Amino acid sequence: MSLHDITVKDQLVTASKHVTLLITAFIFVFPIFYIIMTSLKDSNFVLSSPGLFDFKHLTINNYLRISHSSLKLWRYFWNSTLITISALIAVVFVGAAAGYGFAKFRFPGRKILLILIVLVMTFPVGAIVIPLFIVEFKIGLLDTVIGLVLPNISINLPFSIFIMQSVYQTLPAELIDSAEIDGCSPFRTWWEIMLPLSKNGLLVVTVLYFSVIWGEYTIGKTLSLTSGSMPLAVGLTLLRGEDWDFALMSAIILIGILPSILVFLFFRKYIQSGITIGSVKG
Amino acid sequence: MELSRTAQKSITGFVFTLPSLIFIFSMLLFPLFYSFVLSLSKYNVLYDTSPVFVGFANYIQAFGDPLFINATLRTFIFAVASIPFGVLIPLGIALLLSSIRKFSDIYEIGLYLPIIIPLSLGSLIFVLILEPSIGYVNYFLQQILHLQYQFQWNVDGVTSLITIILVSQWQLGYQVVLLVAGLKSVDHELLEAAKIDGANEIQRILYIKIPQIKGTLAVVTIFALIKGFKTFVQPMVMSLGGPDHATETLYFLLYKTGFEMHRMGYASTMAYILSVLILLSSLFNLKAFKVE
Repeated sequence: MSLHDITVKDQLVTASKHVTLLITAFIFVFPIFYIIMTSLKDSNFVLSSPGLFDFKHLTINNYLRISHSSLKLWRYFWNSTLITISALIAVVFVGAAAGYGFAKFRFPGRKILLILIVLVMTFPVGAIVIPLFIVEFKIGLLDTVIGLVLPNISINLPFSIFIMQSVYQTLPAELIDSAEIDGCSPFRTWWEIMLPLSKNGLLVVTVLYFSVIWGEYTIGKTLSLTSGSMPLAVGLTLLRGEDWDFALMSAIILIGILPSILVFLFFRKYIQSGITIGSVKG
Repeated sequence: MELSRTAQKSITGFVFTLPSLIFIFSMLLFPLFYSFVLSLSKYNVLYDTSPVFVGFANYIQAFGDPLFINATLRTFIFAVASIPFGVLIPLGIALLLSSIRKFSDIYEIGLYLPIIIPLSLGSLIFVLILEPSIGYVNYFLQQILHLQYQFQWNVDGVTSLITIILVSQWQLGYQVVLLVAGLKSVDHELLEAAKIDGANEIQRILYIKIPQIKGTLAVVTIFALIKGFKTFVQPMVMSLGGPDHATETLYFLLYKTGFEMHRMGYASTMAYILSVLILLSSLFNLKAFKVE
């Protein structure tokens, strides 16, 4: 076998790898591609041509119809925005503080608390929404935005704590000591020195949990009853029966998933490292 | 009075964790405890003013309830199916991705994009694609492949179940991310040495790469199994558990029992049984892979 044969064979193997990956990747993006194309179709032609490449009838009409319609879409969008932003701020900063506390200080009960947090993480959300429904009903939080924000914080805090803990473990403890000698209070040491140093970790948690909270379904489905508090990920699934207009539905879904897609395209590497750190620690 | 430096540091550390602990105790641990109490009670929120303690009656009832037993069996089907789909296929993809030099970013974008799409909206997209009369799947089968066949995904139970299992794999990019990261840590010198010794690519995968990512494989398997056990959103959005209960998972049934039939006690029982199943399967896996 000459050297030349090996390279030809290698090239063939490499080419077939690329083809396989290309096809696989295409299958995975196809559903997104499908709703983009369908959302740009004239509603009247969806029935006659369910194919994708009907460029004769391309239109942005569906998006105009959404903006003029009385659909609850914007209400859901607003609720999701409120829930995601407020829960995210708490998940990131409260989680970072705890991660710092667990990583850089030893105190009695620290180990037990960490084990407890891991144990709690394995329970499905379904196990906590039943008691939460009863409690929130009794104290008047049921079907309110704040009643949805609070559980969204608590279910995501454990992972945030573990990710931030592993970030703070990599920062030298001498920084804390020297800040202390300079007369910094513990809170200022964290807020002004350690927090800025952990900004990569903060970004990982922010980006990862933005998409998690934006897409949260179980809490929304159980603790929200009306469009007054209902998040998008739940509300849009209710449109299914009301409006069986494929082009319009596609446009609505696309608006619903657009924030997630944008975050993904800009911060993909952070999402990937968040998944990896989270799995090692969790 | 001066506190010792260690005591001071202990208090500081605890104070930093306190806000999180308040959230976790009040919104996770307390509900889990309350849920356990409810699982030992009869509590129909429409008729009962407060939970009535019934001991283990709900648990005994569950094991004689055909709806519960069938839902549990179905949940196991989802979990078991997640091994080939949720572990082996991602492993294959990850091996391919880590063995090429160019364009892997482009493929990764496609494979990972579904991870961040809200599960309920992703399921809704599949409802459109699979719709029998004007969905894309049947258009593809009839107009492009010219088959005289109409695929009806939600008419018979087996087809519905398989369809939902397949649709649930749309987000397997999550496992690929983990496996690609694991494969990056494989000892390169060892691989080069094996190459010089004449080991072909398959041998290098089987005898070097896979043994070295055993820990990652354990994590991925647990993740895929737990995801299978927790299947809920897809039947909720796509099939409502139908046709004829064929796609009712345990998670789905506990939702229906609690929030549609208002039997909060019995639903909590189901939630606890599901939690125990999840806990056991992750312990079992750690043992099976002999991971510390």
